[in-house]
Amino acid sequence: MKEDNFWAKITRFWKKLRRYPVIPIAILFVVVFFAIFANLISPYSPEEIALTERLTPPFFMSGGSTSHFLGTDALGRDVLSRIIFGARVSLSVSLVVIAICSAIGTILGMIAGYLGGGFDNFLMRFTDAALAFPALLIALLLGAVFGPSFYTVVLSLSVLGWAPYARMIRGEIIKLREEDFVAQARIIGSSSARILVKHIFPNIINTLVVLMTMSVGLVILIEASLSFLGVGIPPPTPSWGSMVSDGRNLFARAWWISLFPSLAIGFVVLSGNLLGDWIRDRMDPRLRQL
Amino acid sequence: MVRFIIIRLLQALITLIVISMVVFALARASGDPVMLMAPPMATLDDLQAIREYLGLNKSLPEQYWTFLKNSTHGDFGTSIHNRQPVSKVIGERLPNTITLGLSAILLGISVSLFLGVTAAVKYGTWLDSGVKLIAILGQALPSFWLAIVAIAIFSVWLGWLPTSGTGGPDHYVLPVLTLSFFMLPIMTRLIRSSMLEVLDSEYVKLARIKGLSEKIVVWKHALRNAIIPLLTAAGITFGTIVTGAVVIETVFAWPGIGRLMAESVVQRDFPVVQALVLLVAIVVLMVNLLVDIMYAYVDPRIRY
Amino acid sequence: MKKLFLISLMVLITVSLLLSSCGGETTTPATTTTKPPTTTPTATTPTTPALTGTLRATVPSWIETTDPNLQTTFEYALYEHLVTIDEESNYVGELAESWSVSDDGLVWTFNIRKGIKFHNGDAFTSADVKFSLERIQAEGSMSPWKPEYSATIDHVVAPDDYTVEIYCKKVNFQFYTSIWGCPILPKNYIEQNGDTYFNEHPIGSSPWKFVKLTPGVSIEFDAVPDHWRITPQWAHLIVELVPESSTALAKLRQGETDIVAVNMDEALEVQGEGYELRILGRPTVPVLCMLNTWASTGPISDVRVREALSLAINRPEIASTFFNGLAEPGGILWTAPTSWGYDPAWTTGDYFKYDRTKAKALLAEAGYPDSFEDPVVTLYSMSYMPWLPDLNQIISGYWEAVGVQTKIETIEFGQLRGMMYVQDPAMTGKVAIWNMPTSQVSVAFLKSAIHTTGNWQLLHDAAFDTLWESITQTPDQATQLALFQQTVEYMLDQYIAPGIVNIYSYYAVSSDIGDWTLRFQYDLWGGFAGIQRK
Repeated sequence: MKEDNFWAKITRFWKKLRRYPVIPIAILFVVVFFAIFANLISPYSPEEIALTERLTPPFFMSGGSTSHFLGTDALGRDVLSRIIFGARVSLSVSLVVIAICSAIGTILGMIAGYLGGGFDNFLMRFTDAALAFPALLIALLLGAVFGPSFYTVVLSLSVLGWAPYARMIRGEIIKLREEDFVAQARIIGSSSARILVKHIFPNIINTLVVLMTMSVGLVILIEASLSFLGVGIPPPTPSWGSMVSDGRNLFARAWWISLFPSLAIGFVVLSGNLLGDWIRDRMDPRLRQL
Repeated sequence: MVRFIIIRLLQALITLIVISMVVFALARASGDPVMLMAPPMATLDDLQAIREYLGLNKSLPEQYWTFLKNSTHGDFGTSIHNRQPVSKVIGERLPNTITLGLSAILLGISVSLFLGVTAAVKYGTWLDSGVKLIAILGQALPSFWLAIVAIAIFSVWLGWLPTSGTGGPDHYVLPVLTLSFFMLPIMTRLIRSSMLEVLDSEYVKLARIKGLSEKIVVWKHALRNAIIPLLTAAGITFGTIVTGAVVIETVFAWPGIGRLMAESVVQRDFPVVQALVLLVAIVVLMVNLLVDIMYAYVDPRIRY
Repeated sequence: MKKLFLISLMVLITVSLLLSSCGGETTTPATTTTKPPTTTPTATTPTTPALTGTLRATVPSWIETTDPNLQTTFEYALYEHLVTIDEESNYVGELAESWSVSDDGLVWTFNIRKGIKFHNGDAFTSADVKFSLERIQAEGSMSPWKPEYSATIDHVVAPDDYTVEIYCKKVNFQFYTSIWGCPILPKNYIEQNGDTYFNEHPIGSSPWKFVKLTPGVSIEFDAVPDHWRITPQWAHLIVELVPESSTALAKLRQGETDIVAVNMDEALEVQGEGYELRILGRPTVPVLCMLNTWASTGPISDVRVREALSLAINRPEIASTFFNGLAEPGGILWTAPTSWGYDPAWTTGDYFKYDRTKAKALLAEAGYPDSFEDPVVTLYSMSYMPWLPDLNQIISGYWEAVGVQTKIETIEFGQLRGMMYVQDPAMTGKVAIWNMPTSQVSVAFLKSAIHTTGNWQLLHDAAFDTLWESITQTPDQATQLALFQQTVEYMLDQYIAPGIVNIYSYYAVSSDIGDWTLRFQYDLWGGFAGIQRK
C-alpha cells in the first residue's frame, strides 16, 4: 500500500512536471549559467595549451583521469573548460544574431504590413531578394571580405536572417490590421506609430518569442557549418561549432573532442524547440504554422 | 492572372539585377584572385599583366556592364581558375545536385507527410511527442558531423554502403538521408500544425458525419487542405537544400554545385560565383512564383 | 488529392527542366571523351608481362586543368622534363642526355635523347623543347617559372632535331636548375588542335597516358607499356578528389582506395589499425616569416629579439607531441635535408636550440627585460591547412612565456601575399606562419624571399644581395655550392624566417601497395609510376 502511494506520488509528480517544460528550461538555465560564470566554473583556461597531455581520454576511459573530466583536445586543452567557455561564445553569437534579426525583421514587417501599398510591395520584393540569396555563399563571401571573426559571423548570419522574421510579422500585422481594436484606436485619433507600438505590437510578442526561442539552436548549428567551411569563429576562441569542426577528423581516435560539444549543441537545439513548442501551445494556439 | 504573372516576372527581373549587383560588388571586395594564382616569384609588373589579361584591371562599372551584357545571351564568362566557360563548369556539376536535391526533397516530403499526419491524428499522445522529438533531432546535430559519423557507421563499420562519390543508386543513400534529415523538422512541423487546423474544421466534420471512413477523411480530405502551407515553404526548403548541399557535398565528395560554390569563393573565381548565385536566385524566385500561381489554383478563394 | 499530386509533380518537373536547361547545352562535351587522334603505337616486342590492375589514390584538392600554363596539378603524371634530380639531389638528364654552358655563361646547349615518343606516337624533337620554353612565357601563362624564364631567356634555337640552344639575357650559371620547371609539350599536337583541345585531351611523354578527367570527381590514366624511363606496375591509375580527409580515410578502410594522404594524428591512427605508411618526397617546413625585419624601428628589427623568439620555441616538444614524432626539429626556408648543399650541422647546431633562459637574456640585452607590448606580435595563420592555426597557438604560448605579447589572426593566403608585396612599415611585428614546400635547389626561391628585388619583404640587405648574385655568377660548381651554403647561413644568422620542424608527407596505403621508388624527384603525381606491387 505504501509502495503504491509512493509510485502514485511519483506518477503524479511526473504528470505535473510534464505540464511544464522543466527539462528544457533546466538545460537552458545550466547553459546560460555556464556562459555567465564561465570564469568561475571552468577548471582550466580554455586556451591553455599542454602538449604533453594532448588527446587524453575522458575520466571514465582507461588512460583518462579526473583532472580532465571530458578529456583534452589536439593541443591538450581541457574539453570541459572549452565547452563551458564555448557556451558563452555560441550563446552570444546566437542571441546577438537573433536580437538583430528580430529587431530589423519586426520593424520592417510591422511597417510594411501596416502601411501596405507601394512601400509594402517594395519591402516584400526586398525580402524576396534576401530569401533568394544562397545564405551560406553570402556568409563565405563576407568571411572572405572581412576575415573570420566574431563580428563577421554575426554579420553573415544577420544580413539575410531578418527576412523570415519580416515576412512572418508582416503576415501577422495584416491580419491584426483589420481587427476591431485597431479600428477603435484609429477612431479615437491615435497616431499610426502609437497604434503600432501600443496596440499591435503586444499582439505579436507571442509569435516573436516563439520564433526567437526556436532559432537559438538553429543559429548555433549554422555557426557550426560556417566553422566547417573555415569562416566560423577563429581560433583560439572556443565555440561549440568550431570544436566539433576541429575534432571531426580525429573522430576515430579521439571522439570526445567532437562528441561532447555536438551533444551540447543538440541539447540546446532540443530545449529551444521544445520550449518554443510549449510556449506556442500555451500562449497562442493560433500560431501553429511556425 | 496573366497580368499578375507578368508583373511578378518583371519584379523578379529587378530583384535579379539587384542581386547580381550585390554579388558582383561583394565578390570583388573579397580579394584578388591574381594574388592566389600568380607565380610565387611574380613581380608587381607581372601581377598587373595578369590582371590586364583577365580583364580585372578595368573599372568596376565597366566589368559589371560586360558581365550583364554577356549574361543576357547566356554567356557567363570564363572561369578564372581553369579558363573553362562558366556554363560548362556549372553544367557538369548541376545534374548531380539536382538528382541529390530532388531525391532529398521527395524523401523529406514523404517522411514528413507520414510523421506530420500521424502526429496530428494522434495529437497529444506519446506518438505525437515521439514524432516531435524525431523531427527536432534532425536539426539537433551539425550536418557535417552527422554525415561523417554516418560514413563511419554505415560504410566502414557495417560495410553496407559506399563511403562517398557518385555511381550506382547505393551512392545516393547516405547523402540523401543526411540532406533530407536536415529539412524534416520544418516540414513535419508545418504538416502537423496545418493538419491539426484542418482536422478541426467544419469541412472535415462534415466528411465524418457523412460516414466516410477515418482513413479517407484524414488522407484524402484533410491532407489536401493541410498541404497548402507546405507549398509556401517550398521556396525556403529549396534554400535549405542548397545550403545543406554545400556541406553534404563536401563530406561525401559529391561533384555538385554546392561544393563548387564553396570552392569558387575560396579561389575568388568571380564569374563562377556570380553565375551560381544568379542560378540559385532564379530558381528560388521561380519556385516562389509557381507556388503563388498554384496557390490560386488549389485554393480558389485567393484572387490576385 | 490526385490533382494535388499532379501539381506537385508538375512543379518538380518544371524545376528540374529549368535547372537542367541552364546547363544542359554544355554537358555533352564532358561525356563524350574522344581519345586524342592516336597513330598506331609503335610495335614493340613485349618484354614485360602484360600490365594488370588499377592503382587507386585520393587527393584532397587539385587544379582542374591539365595545362601546365594554368598550374595543373597533374604535371608530373603527364609530362616529362629536360632535367631531373636523383636521390642525392644531383641534377641529371631526363629528356636531355647532357648539357653544357658557354664560357661567358650566356648560351646553354642541351643534347636531347633520341627515340622518345609522345603518347600519340609523335617523335619528340628539339622543336618541342623550343615550343615549350616559349609557351611558358606566353601571355596569360600562370606557370611558376614564367617570371624567371622571361627575365633570363633571350631566345631559343633548335639547330637540329636533337640539339637546343638557349640564349640568355644575363649570366646565371644556375639556370639549368630552372629548366627543371619546364614540362615538355607536343608542339605539333597543340598547334594542330589548339590549346582548348589540348587542355581537354592532353598528351605528354610520361609513363601515364591521359584517359579522362571527370570534373570534381576523378582523373584516370592508362600505363604506357615499355616506357623508356619507367614502366608502371599497374595498367590503370585512378585518382579521386576527396576534399574531406575523414571521408578519404573511410575510403581506405572500406577498401575503396589504396593511397590516402594522412596528417600526423591520422598516421598514428591508421598505423594502429595495421595500415602501412609511406613517405614521399621532401618535407614541408612551417616557417615563421618575420615581415619587415628591415624596418629601422621596433623590437623585430633587432636580430637579438628575433633570435630570442626562435630560442623560445621548444621544437623537440612540438615534434614529439603535436607531430607524434613524425616530424623532426629544424626547418630552413626552401631547404630540406635532401636539398642541394644542405649541411646537417645547420640543424644540429645552435640555430634551432631551445633555451628559454638565453631567450630572456637576449630580450633583456635588447632592452626588453620584462616584456614588450609594442608591437603586439601578430601571428598570422592561413586557414588552408587545419593544423596551422593550432601550431600558431603553440608558438604563441612559447612566446608569451618569455614575455612577448602575441595575438593570433586567421587570414587567407591571397590577403597575406598581397600584404607582403607592399613595403609598409605598419607590417612590422607581423609574423606569418607558412607551411613552405622545400626544393632540391633553393637558389631561385631564396631570391624572391630575401633579395631586395624579391617580393616577400623579409630582408632588405645589400650583403645578402651580393652573396646571392655571386652564386649565379660563378661557373665553378664547387664554389657555387660553398657560396650557397654561406648564403643560407647568412639567412639563418638573421633569424628572418626560423623554421620549426621538417614535416614529411605521409601516405597510408592498402595491403596491395609495395615499395615506393621515385620518392624524391617529384610530387605524388610523379611518384605514381614508381609505386610497386606487394
